[in-house]
Amino acid sequence: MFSKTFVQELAIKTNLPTEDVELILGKLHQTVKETLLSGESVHLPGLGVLQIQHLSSLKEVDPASGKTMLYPPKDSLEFTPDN
Amino acid sequence: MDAEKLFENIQSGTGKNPTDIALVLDALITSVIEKTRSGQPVDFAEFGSFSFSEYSRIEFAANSDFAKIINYRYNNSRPIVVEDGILPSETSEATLQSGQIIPTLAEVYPTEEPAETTEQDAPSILTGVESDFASPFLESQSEVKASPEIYSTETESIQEVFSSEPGLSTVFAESEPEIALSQEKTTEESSPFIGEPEQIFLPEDSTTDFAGVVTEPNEIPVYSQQETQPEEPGSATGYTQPPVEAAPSVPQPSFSWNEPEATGTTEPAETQGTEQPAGKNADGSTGFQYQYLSHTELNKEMDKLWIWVLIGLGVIALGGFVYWFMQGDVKKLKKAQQVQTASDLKDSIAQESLVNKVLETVNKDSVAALSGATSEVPVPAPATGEKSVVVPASPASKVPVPAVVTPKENSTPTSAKPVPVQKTESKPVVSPATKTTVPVKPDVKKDTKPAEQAKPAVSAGSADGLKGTYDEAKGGFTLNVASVPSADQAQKAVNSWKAKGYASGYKESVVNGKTIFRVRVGQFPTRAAAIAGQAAFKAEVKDAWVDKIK
Repeated sequence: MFSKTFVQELAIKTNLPTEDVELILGKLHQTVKETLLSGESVHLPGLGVLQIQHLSSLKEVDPASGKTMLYPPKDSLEFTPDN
Repeated sequence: MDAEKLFENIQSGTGKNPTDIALVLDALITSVIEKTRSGQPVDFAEFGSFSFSEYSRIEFAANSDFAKIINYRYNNSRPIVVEDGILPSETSEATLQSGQIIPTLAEVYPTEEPAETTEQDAPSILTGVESDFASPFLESQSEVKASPEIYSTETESIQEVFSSEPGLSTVFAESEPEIALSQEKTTEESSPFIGEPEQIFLPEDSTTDFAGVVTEPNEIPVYSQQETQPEEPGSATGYTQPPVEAAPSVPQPSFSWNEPEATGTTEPAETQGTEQPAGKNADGSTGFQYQYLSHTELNKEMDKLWIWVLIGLGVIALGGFVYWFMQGDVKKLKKAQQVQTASDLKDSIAQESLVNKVLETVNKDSVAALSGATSEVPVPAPATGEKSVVVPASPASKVPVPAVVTPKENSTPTSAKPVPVQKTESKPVVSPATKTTVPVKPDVKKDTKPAEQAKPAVSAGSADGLKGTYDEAKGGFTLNVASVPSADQAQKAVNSWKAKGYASGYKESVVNGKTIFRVRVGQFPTRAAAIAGQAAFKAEVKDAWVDKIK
């Protein structure tokens, strides 16, 4: 998930071993992914909120063909930054 | 999940010191914010990337793989066409909105690409819901080939058209591969516009257009949606071609009379020999007939029309110029006539003034002559019985001194009247000083005849003619003083004038069918003398006018 350079930077900043930093970040990635897939949002303090947004199906008239089209629903990952 | 639960999960999963976990999370968030604000996106593999947007906000874009994982329920779903707003019977709009019935959604939204179709099963594909998946803007060559009924090109077979036209088949016989290639290209290009009738104007010498329609020169092809015919077995291309029909040219009616000579040249060879009766059209009818012109012929006619319009404008301009020029000439002529009239008027006024002056002079002279005549009263002859002739001694003195001449013995006494000899031909304008009086010399006493001396002489400008007797048989000139309708009135007037001592008479005349009687006064030998008498008689009658005694 995270590049080695980024992990080394964090290790330098925290004065922790690189393996510990990589382990913590890996666990963070797994937790966030499972939380999002379970339908819950994840709040990273100081950064923002990650959540899955469900877009319902949409019925519109295609201007090109003039036919009424029904577009399927969609789940997408949305991010709302903190102030 | 809030920060505390996240912290607990990480701590329970890793077993690390909470302080270390907190340091790592804080360093992670701080570095992400700093890097994104400095313009460097932070990419997390298999998760997404953070970046700083132009709105000064941190954005997150999920990785495509992670997005597919999140949207695992609706992946590969495609939009469907809803006929008249009615959804398929298996599901309802409410269930679609909820998104919880995954098996039903899988049926509604197909998750696989439509299989490559063959020519045999193409009609079955075109029926039902699946046929609506093909967008007219995303069609491919394979779709066009597989769906002839929808993607019919409405074009003719170039080979068929060429074979029907012997001249064209010989011209394009050598380029059949190129024609086939262009046929495929034009089919792809023209397929989006199928069903939309268009009128395309071609150059004069073009025989094919982009859709493969071969037209006669100078004809306008018309594309219309026609029913497709079933494909013949063994067709190499797989296209269905509509029946070959001559594309009707767009009628451009022009109102013209059908002339037999013109039809003989424009008709085909089969009908060139036929003669039409004069005044009848090709179909035997009489009267006006619409003649359909092609595009180029119409252009030629329009060019001719423009020429005629220009000629008409030129004629109008020329007429206007001529009118303006003539107006200028007319004005000039009117001015010249006015000037001439004014000059003529001046001349007439000058002449009139001159005549007035002459008349005044004549009046003066006549008055003077009249006064002279009254002074020239002859002295009666002496009582001694001697006959003498009184002759004015000097006319210039106005007082003639009579010269008493003793006649000889043999002289024949004629009359006692003095005979002043004057020139009767003298004009009235001549002054009396110029009048020559010829005194009777004593030397010619023998030769003087009494007849000559007794002849009365009328002096011009005198009133002698007014007095005496009026004898119409003598002729001469007289003064008409009145015109009365009856002879009695005329006679009364004459008597009154005679009572005053004037010579007077009347004459019957017919004027405009009416008989009038003109009362006349005086009798003068010449017109000049009459005019002089008129001036002298003006005191009596102003309107007396000179008339000739006939």
